[in-house]
Amino acid sequence: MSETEQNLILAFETSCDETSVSVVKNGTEILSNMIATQVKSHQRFGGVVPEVASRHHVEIITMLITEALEKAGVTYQDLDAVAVTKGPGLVGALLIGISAAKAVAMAYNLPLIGTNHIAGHIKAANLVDKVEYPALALVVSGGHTELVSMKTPSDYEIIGDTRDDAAGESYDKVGRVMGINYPAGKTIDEMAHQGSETFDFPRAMMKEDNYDFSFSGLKSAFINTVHHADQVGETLDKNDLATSFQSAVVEVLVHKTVKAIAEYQPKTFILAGGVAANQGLRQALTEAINQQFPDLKVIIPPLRLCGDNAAMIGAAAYQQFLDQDFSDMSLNAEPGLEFPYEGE
Amino acid sequence: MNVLAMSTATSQLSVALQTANRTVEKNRTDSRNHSIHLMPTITHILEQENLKLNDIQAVVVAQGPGSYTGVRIGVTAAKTMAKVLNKKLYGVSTLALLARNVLDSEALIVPVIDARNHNFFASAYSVDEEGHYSEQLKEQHIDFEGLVNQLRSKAVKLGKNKLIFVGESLKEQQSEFSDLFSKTEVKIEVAKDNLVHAELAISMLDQLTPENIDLFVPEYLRKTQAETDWAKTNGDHDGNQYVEEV
Repeated sequence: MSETEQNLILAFETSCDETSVSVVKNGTEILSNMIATQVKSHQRFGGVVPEVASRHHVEIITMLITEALEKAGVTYQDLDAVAVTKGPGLVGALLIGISAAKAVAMAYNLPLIGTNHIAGHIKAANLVDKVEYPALALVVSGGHTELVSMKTPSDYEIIGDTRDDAAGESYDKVGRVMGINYPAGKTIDEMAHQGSETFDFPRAMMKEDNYDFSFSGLKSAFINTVHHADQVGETLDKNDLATSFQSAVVEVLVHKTVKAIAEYQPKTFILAGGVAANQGLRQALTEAINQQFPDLKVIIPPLRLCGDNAAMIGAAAYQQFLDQDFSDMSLNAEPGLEFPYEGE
Repeated sequence: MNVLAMSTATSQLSVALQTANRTVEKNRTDSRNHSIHLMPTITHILEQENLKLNDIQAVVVAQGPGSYTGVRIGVTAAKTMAKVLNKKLYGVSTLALLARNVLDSEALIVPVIDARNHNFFASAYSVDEEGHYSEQLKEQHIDFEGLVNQLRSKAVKLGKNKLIFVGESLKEQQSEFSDLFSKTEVKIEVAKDNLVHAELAISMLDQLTPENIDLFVPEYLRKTQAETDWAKTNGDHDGNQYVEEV
């Protein structure tokens, strides 16, 4: 690929309950980003059922491939590579994207790129603005809560992560206690804006000298508060509960992030992952950073690019394309894939 | 016509390629990890015959029943290849393939795939002297006793005094099956070849009709536990659109 040529990557994302196929140009421009969500299906069960998720992915995958190419206005011959999420995620779900991606790569003799899902969330920033390095990212989703340091576009190091529940997971768990349909994040976020902070929930690991998180204590405190009220026949204001819960989550996330920015001095900060769609978190982080680091470039992708989507995988895979970081046809799912920890 | 066939439905991987000159088949019984081995095996068999994937006119895949994850790997690969290269796609039952390992017009042929917890995916076939197979028992997910009962009455009805089971890891079950038929006239045998052969899928091509590729999904023969439980309290809503583009 010469400087003037364009690079087109067909990307697949099937790590959980969204099936997505996208065409991304030069790692920065979305030509198409088809997303099919299974959320209505899993709402029946109060959470994602892996076998059901895998079945849905097979139902829709080839339709999305066709649509992604049509919408992008490109043909298979125009493509330079095929990228796919190899992990982390649900193994059976990952395998659908991997099997489909391999089939396209083999059919058109294209290089195959196996991409880390979390790298995808972070690289969604490239679809919004130019990321300058070193960069720091806070990744918050249903499965992850981690601070990632990037010295270059190709290096990812975890400097802190959750010791128990992910932030998004704790939203779903307290949502269940309040009778909120899965996924609960968006509803709790909306409720939180209508209530006031009347409950004093714990902020875990605030004073510890590391960048790790813990949300299980908060979840337990929340559940105990609600159960206790139930037992004594007291009715609690759900909006106040939501506000108090969200304040505790956001405060810890902001505190640790600000501390990490102060130490690592990144040129760009990125908020990434499904929970990055949370308005309370977006506001609090933006305010804190504007106040303390007014010169820091902050990229918070729009809502559609915060949730799982294949465009972000195409964006991350572009760097791998430049690095010639290709996979062969034996690529397998890596459900527990993780970035290395700093210093490892 | 060049035809590519594959099965990833059981613990063994089978890939076959029919060319103008011959049909070749590659099998792997050493690994259950079809995601790793399927595509390299296809690459290998194509290279060996000096063909590219685009030189194929049709793709045939074992559609299930079998291991859910395994079936999905083959079905997804096959339907994607067929879709993006605009080739014909055919699905074939894993049990029908297994049945074709046995050619004995005296016997009731019983393909079975272990579905765990003492359950099986099973059906039954008869074959005439010209080698035409007829399905005698509908494919089903069934427990051991239920299967034996159905086989017993089917054998009587068809006047068969021999059952030949065909499928993986049947050696352990053979004595159990024999015991259950011990008071009857029915003789129990296990097939000599218990592997799923992709090559046989190619031989069945003239009996198959091309699939609608986008709508093609595995034949699981069983709802997920979560859906079964949900349907108990909420009724069946199979027409519902659970996946939607956003």
